[in-house]
Amino acid sequence: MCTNACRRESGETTAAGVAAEARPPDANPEGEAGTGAEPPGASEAELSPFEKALTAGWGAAGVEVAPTVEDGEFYRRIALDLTGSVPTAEEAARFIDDPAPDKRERLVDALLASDDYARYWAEVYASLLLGQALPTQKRIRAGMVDWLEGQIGTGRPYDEMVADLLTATGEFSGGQEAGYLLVRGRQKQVEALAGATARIFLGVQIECAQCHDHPYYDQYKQEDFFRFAAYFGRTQVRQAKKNKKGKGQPPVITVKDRRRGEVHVPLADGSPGVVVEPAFLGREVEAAEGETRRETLARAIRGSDLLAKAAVNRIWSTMLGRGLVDPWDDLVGENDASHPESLRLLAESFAASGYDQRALLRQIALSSAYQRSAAGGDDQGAAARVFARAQVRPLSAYQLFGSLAAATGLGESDRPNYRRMVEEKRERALAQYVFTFVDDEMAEAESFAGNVPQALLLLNGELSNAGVRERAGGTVAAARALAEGEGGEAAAIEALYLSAYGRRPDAEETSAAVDFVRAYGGGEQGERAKRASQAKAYEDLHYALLLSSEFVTNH
Amino acid sequence: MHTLNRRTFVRSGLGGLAAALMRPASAFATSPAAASAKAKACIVLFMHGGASQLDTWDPKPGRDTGGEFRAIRTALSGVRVSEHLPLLAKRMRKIAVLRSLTSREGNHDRARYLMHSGYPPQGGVVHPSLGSLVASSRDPGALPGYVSVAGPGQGAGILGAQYAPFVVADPTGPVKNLKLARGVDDERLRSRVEMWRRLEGRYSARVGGPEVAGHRAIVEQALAMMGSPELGAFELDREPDAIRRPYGPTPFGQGCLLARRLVESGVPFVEVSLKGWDTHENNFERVKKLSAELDAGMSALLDDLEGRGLLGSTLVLCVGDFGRTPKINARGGRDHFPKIAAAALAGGGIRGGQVIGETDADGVEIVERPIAVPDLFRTLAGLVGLDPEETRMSAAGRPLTTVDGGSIIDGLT
Repeated sequence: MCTNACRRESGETTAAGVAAEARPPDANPEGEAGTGAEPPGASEAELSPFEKALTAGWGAAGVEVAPTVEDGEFYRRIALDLTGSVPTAEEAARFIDDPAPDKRERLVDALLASDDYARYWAEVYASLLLGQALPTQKRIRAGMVDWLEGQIGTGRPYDEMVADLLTATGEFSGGQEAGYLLVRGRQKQVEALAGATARIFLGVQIECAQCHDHPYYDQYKQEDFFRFAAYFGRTQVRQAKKNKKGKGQPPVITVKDRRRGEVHVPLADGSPGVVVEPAFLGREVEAAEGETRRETLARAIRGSDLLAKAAVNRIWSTMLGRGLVDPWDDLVGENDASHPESLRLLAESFAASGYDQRALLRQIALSSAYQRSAAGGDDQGAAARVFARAQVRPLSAYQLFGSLAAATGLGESDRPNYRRMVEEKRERALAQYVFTFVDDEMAEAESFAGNVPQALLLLNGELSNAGVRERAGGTVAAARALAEGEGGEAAAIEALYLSAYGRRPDAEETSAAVDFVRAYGGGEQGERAKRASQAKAYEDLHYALLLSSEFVTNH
Repeated sequence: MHTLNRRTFVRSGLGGLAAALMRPASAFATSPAAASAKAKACIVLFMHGGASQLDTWDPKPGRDTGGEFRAIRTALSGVRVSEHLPLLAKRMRKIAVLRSLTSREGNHDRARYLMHSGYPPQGGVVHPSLGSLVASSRDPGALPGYVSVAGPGQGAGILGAQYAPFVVADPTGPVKNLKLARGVDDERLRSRVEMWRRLEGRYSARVGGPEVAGHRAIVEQALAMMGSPELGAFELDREPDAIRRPYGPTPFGQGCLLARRLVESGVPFVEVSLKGWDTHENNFERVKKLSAELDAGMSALLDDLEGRGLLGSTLVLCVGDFGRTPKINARGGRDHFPKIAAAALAGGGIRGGQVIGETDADGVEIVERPIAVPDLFRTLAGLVGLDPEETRMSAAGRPLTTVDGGSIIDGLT
């Protein structure tokens, strides 16, 4: 019945040699565009099997391969993807001017070692695991983020993390990892929990087989879904009404497994039919002595190659805008498997590394695909589809707010007020534009990114407007000081470009910006009036940069 | 493309902000099909979570599956609906009910995708929602072409972010961030926008693509909104109490009123969500409450549109994720049941006063005229002036037609 890839491939391949370093085949930032199957500037021998598999499609697709992304843009992109924010102007300048040939590797390592990395990926995972939690579950989400931050920060292997989420048992003050079972299984629905588990950890949308045999994949019958759900059939998850320690204490979740509890396959009218025994995607997995059903499931998941594949495909999709198989959470459907071989190799390397997420992120970040430029005009997205060009994507709300704080120079710790304002605005924007559906799948839709309300927020909201004000003492104030120095206007303009775009302006951009700034300060004005109009000029220039596509997208 | 002079000239009749910010004249124009559409506008009332057809439009009184509600007579002889829809029952001569809408999507996300776009989700391409398609077929105005009230609606997919829904979370609150920030006057904004347009021009030439085009378009849309007289549509306070009250004091009811005001101001597509229909537990208590909101909001909307002579040109559709199981579960709830759902239509080209499709005595099987979602979408496309066979290219180079097969529902229009 179930012909999923786990059986087909288990034991067939070893991962040796695949985990080898992922070195960008083209470390030359000035790399020319090429059109061949090989990435520019690389000889066949240097390529890992993963790189070979990935770039093999470039020639066949007949697309123009974009040049390697320039240093500044690479920094901006990887900082957004690993820490959720753009670099500051100083950081960007230092990186661009660093002559070391291995600076990209060192940058990636430094970002992966930062607290911001653990914090940002904890947020990314919390959204994946819980959806956007209901307002009443804010504290459950906060407890989950704390737990995840610890796991990710200490480099806990991904498979162990998943097992913890599925087998959490006992009393959890603050919720922690038990938040997953509580939120996904609310209203005592094992079906919802089972559907989420198969989709998130295995990339299988088996829940489509809940109401009838699966509409698109022949291999899953309705019974398979309910047999999968039966792994949770005996689990009892409760949130205590209040913490015994008193008010204001974190919420407490208790999880236990009962000795009984059965899952039925419903009949055509929805009434309960036969009782089913647990099975893993149509395959029998014998329970070990003393094991709970959930423990058996966790073991089966850790033994499946779909665990690594789904994780790799999801993280790839988060970093590059689309999955190696797209969408990332539909690995066995009839979809575009643009790079099945690359996915297999990368997944094997992830498993062989002991499910080390940092190693995976590093490998992706330094891959030739990740280091393509986004420039090159529009060819209907064909090049981006085979990862021969970077895809332009809107920033998430988290990334946008973090980046505004960094770019205005007001996100540093010595500006606690502005920092608080950023946090507050982000919370409010998310509450306003992220819709949580009161249904059993905890679906979410962030209708904030790339939308008219977002444009209005940038145009007239406090963050951008107050952030660019010279008196706020951030980037614009620093730029004004530079303008007065020997670098003059050009130095000031450069600082603004670096803060917003992570790169320096070219000659044409500088000259256009100089004209713009000069138009504000007429020579006939008094000294004071001139200063005021110059302040306005730089404020307005910075504002325009922060409103632009180059700032509000990841590219 | 167009010089500042041209823009200034075009808008010379307007003063201040509007003149300063007028977006460059666009290449878009209402398509010929849209110009001759029966329904100039469309309002979708989306029953979020999947409404129980058996406890609303297709009651089964006296059967185990029928539950605890009674069925009441309607203005249409021989047709009954739930006792909790008394106002709509009186207006049945304007309404066409579909009792045999069927699909295979029993997962909320997938079902919503299908019910908004007419396509099931498929890897590699994001289909545009009907609202986005309608928005893209009309001339851009000061207000966005697709507004979604109290819910997220669905995105524009391959059409680009400029046709994504403008989301109004709270219909009674003001639209945020429409006023200029402190210390910024018209002149400064004009200067900022001019610089921004230059930056966008360069970036479009260097990188381009749909994301960049989309961002430019949404900022231009935001600028067009600022200071436009049409914004008054969002001020529900302007409505006399006698009009406002019948809609009901709920976000959904007031959202219906906002929908009418937006349509009057030229917005071609408005979606209003009523959330909470995912009644796996406690179905009857919850459906009773939700029905009261739907009954008041939709009835007031139909009356109000009719009173203003807009009903004939405004298509109203009430639909949700999917139907719910005939069997009532142990928690007094009903589960997902994509096999059978009900929908109601009125106005803009719909022949009211009829029921299409029939289910068996227990509501377990369709016994007459099953209607697939593409059938509904083909019919809707014709009414709102979309060419169902028009082909658009996806980013993956796959051609997509407006509607995925299906055939027009005979007798509905």
